[in-house]
Amino acid sequence: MLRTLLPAPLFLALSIGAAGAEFEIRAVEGLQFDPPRIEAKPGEAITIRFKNADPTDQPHNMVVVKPGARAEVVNAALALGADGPAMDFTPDSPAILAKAPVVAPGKAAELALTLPAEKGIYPYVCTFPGHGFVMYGAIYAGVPMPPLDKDENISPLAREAGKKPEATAEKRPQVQRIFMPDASPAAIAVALPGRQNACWDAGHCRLRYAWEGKFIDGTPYWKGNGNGLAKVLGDIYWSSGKLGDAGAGPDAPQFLGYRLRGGLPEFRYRRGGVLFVETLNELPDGIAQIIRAEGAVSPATIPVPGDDRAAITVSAGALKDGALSVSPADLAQGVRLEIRPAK
Amino acid sequence: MTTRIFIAALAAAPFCHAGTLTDYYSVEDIASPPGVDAQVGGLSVSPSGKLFACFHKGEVRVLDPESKTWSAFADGLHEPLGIYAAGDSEVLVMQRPELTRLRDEDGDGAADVFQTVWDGFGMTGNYHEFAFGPAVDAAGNCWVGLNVASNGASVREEVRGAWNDIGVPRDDFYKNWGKVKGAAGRMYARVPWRGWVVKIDPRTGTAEPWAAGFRSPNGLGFDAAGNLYVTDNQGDWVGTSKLHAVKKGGFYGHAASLIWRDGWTENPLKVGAKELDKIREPAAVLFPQGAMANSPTQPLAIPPGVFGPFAGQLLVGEMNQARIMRVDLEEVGGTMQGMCIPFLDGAPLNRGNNRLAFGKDGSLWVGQTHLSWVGATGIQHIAATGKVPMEILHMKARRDGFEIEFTHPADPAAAADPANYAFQRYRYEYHEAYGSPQKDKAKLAPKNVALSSDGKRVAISLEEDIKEGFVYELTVGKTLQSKDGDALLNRLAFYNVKRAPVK
Repeated sequence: MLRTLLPAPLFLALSIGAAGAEFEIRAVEGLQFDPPRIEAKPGEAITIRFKNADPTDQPHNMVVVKPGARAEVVNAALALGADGPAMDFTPDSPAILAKAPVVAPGKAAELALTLPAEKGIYPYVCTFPGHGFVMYGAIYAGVPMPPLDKDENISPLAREAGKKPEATAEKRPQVQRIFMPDASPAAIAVALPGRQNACWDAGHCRLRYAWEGKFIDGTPYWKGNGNGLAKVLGDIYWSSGKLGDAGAGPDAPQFLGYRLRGGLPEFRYRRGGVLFVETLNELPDGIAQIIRAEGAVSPATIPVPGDDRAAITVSAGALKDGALSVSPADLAQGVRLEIRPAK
Repeated sequence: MTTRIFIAALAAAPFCHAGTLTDYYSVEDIASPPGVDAQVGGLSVSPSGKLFACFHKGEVRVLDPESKTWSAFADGLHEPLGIYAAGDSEVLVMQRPELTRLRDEDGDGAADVFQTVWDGFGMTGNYHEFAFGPAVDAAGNCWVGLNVASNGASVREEVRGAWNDIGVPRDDFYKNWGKVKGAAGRMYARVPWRGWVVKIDPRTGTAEPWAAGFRSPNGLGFDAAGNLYVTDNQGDWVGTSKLHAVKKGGFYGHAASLIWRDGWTENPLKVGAKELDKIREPAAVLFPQGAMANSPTQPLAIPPGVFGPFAGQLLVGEMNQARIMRVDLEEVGGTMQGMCIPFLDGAPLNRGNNRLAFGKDGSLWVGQTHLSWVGATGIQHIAATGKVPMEILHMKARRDGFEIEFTHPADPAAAADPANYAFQRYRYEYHEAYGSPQKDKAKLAPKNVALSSDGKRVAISLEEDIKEGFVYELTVGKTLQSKDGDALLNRLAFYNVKRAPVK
């Protein structure tokens, strides 16, 4: 019954045999153990397969300690100083019930122990210097588990993750620079006021894709140190496709920044010596891109790749083979491209 | 309350006043702005005294220190890790993709113009390519540090900037990553100016790559004379964390960035540590891993009139421990080197001390972060109570030992007792491997201890002359206290002998 309190993917009791329960506990990104807690019986012989699955390439160990002894053992590990590496950063302490050595990323170790007969909450912790302050979990032996978000025996991040997400309305319009899929690393996500969204690439100085629906989920990037891309939360109906590298070579456009007007960005960039100003505007069923340039002396070619999912109309110039050719006069006036999902 | 009673009881003891941080400094937790993940990437006090802070998800918020209220200045930046408030309506922010000028032109208190000042550096999309700074010098130039990528991950399909193939062809990053990640280097610099410190004129956007050899330069600042200092973090090519006095054209040890030196054609990993050591400039200060710092952050000079006798010295933040360090430098043989010692140590200070800024009133703002490593979140506000602690103010190298100066006259008997000065020396290997054990370690007994007539300075000669390339660790014994009975607040200091003095 208590086990059902845990979200299923976080809990992995592999099998319960004569040797007692077997568990897999992984070290994961953000100095965390996954699962953050497990349940066993007092006096039970258990085996923990400890796997270092931390994608940020950090070594970790795992030490199971007596109830209440986590801080003491973590501090004793820190006090090992220069002797730490040879001892797997594990102090010689009677408070330690079982230990797994320092495990390199991608590797695993096994840790077997018989839990004491006393009911209790037995912490597991990584005592690699510094990690122990945040990287810990708990074996509940004969003690009921509190709800995850109230559990003081697990790491603060795991406790936080146990909270139900608050249903907050999306802020619109908004501009968020973040790693976006299918763009250069210098991407800008734009939520238009209604239900249209765009990824504009400051590396290429171009619109990369447009979608309808919700904006983005930045959690994969924000939860850690940036080793993840934001998720697009709607249906992409137009994309520039792959573009290769940005910002390399003498002909690369130069991004100059943006000005917010009513919360929406007015992008500025220089391409071929000409200053371009570009805005994104919401249509009831799509997105309108308005590109303006002062002082062009010859017709400009604006790349507008076709996409089977979209219908594109232009206010001026000739759109052919994924390129729009516009006269200096039209550019000075502003060219309007409307992109809509194809019917 | 209990703490106060405890201290009062100690103070009543006849000879020794143990002392804690809060006897000398107040530490206040500042409520974070609402709705923000309070991982602080940058702090700066504007000329009017407002505190500008930037946060993990890209918010810039402004704290009025009088009313303690926050207002929103900007949103949506990409991992801003440094901010400089030129005024209340204009700030410079270093975010992952660029140095940006944010300006409030319509006067509503929030930025409406986001002007790209400099984005002429590469990004592979690797998570470790953080961008630090800007530290702004007296002439208004911006100094930024660009982190190298980690082979904990590969690169994005589309990168920004020119790709450098030296060592590992690009294709292998996509097709054979498992096989080549070792050959790529634990930390790599495949696009321009990764691992470099760059000088930027924010008026023109002109950038000058200044110095190479950095791994994770999460801290740029100036000493009182305006010289540039940059911290780096223990890892590959970095035996222990350190502070560099940075000069134009210097190479500061991490090999990856060398591929962007003019005319460089070889794979630096193949050149090897022995050869690279010949062109490497060693650090001014070493922070021994574990004992002192695992991840040093921003250096910041203590302004005149602030923190008593420590004015002019540098503070350096530390991520892993609840600590802000103090660095005391001296010039020896034409190079800067010196001591590091804890300054603010332990609770109520938090971990994760990423950014520091002095207020107009001489108080210190501290911003904390973790970015999923060890650390904390939030802002703390620290002010001196006015009472100067008994501390090691200076530690200066002599040919045969060190001269220590205390902030107050020391108890003469204890200060003259050689048993109160436990030294050991060791060095860190310069190599490609991650970190270094302490090598050639030896305990050293003082041969002679001489106390100055004012009781503040102690000349300690050791059993051997001090050696270049070694860190000297000094632990001062517990009986050493001030003449007035104040215990030494911090007893563990480290001096990095880059050059041994001739006298």
